[in-house]
Amino acid sequence: MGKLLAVLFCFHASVATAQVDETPSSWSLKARELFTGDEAKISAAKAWFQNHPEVLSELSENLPHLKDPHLALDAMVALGHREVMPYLMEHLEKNTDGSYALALAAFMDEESAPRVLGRFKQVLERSPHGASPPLALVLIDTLARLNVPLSASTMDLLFTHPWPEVRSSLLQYVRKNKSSGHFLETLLQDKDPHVRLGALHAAKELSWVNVAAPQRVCSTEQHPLVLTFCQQHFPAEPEA
Amino acid sequence: MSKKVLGLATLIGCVLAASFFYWQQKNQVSFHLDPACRARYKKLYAEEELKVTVVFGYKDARPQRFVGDRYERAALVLRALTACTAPQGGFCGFARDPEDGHVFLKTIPTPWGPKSVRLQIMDSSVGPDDQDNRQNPFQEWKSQRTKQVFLEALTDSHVVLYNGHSRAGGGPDFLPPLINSLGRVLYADYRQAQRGFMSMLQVLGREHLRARSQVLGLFSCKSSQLFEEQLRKSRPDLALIGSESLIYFKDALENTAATLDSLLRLKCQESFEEALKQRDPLKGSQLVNFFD
Repeated sequence: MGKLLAVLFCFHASVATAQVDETPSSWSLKARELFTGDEAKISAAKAWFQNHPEVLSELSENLPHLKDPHLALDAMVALGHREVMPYLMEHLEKNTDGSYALALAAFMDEESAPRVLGRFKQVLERSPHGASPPLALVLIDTLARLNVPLSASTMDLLFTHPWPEVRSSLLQYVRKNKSSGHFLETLLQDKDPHVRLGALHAAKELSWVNVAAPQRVCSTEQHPLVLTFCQQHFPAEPEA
Repeated sequence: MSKKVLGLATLIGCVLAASFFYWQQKNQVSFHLDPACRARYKKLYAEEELKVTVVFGYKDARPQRFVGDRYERAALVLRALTACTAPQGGFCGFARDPEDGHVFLKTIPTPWGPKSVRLQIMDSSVGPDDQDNRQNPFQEWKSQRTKQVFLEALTDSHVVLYNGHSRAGGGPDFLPPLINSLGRVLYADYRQAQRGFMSMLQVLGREHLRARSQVLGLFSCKSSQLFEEQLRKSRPDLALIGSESLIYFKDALENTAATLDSLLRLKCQESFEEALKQRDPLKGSQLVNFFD
């Protein structure tokens, strides 16, 4: 009996999914036109979605089962279908490429911002190395852009993240906040040359940074790309 | 009784042998390449190391402020670093070069022995907000650096893939776009000046004889109709991958990954074209001059 129920459930689920993908088979065509069409096509596509209000609701209910979830999500963002937000909030960590976080950031308004940002912070603070790196990148970018601080222990762990892209994104905190100068010192000593380059650019740009730190780092630099930048902007002091 | 035991033991032995045989078959990489396909890949893998460069252009969404190339690159890097599940490998199982975070390395089996693959993946923006990026001096530096890597790769890499905007015929672009006061991109300027495309053509024409490049993919809107004809004149021997129509970013990203996977798995024409969804003008990319 249980097996029968399971089979029936699976059958129902697959039919439901197929309906979303196939019934208004034009949904994906119309959604693509929202992003790749000329103005007339974009208007026509918007009108089509307005005339079929059930489509976005069905897509949002079946998001994880769709063949093209990114397209559906982008269409929801473009058309302001905010009903999908609770689902995105709940399943934020499971989405490894960060598209749920990007959609949430796009939907965010004054009213929802505290909840969305709180959730972003929670994901990073619960396990700084646990979130998928593309997701972590979106979370850090969003929090740093709005100058939402992370706890010191989270920051410390993020500075040791295995992905240089994630470590590099922390530079945005440095650019936003004078009190984060010690973060810059850490990034100047990063093992990846591209992270060091970003940090050196910030050190050159931000007038409040003490030049002693970049000069110290430059004095031992080996990577040709970083070394060139050092020689141009942080040349060694001539010995007395 | 002893006959039963013997029978059972034989049965178990047979099952074990069959399992071992199946396991061995499953994990053995075999290449069934037709002669033309084999010859094509022999040329691509002629050197000990295959150099592949993937460059994301500056992917703004003007008139909105969002810029997405860092996120698209991160999604591609995640795939590169994910462990392979099939013995044929493909676009998976790379290790990041500890000396350079933009470089990913792996060794793949080929009919001519194992070959090293050096995959460089670059992006162009320094952050997700175009307005912020324009005020950040690092943006200019990074854009110029990525452009330089792309142009050098046209000579020095066997495979060069650009994923970004076509700028209405302007060509590959790594900088924040030229915009008017309403934040709209000045497409007429791009179309007329064709700065990105001309830089490419110059390098391709100048370095023709000593160029290593064999495959050039332009995963950008209408790249086939905008660029293919002149590229083929400039480098008749170059295989091209382009898009017939305006392409949605996720389709372009999927096709970029499919190209890498196909080349690393030595896919022949039919399966390569299938991976690129070649018959679908809306989502697909078109491969020309590779097998023919």
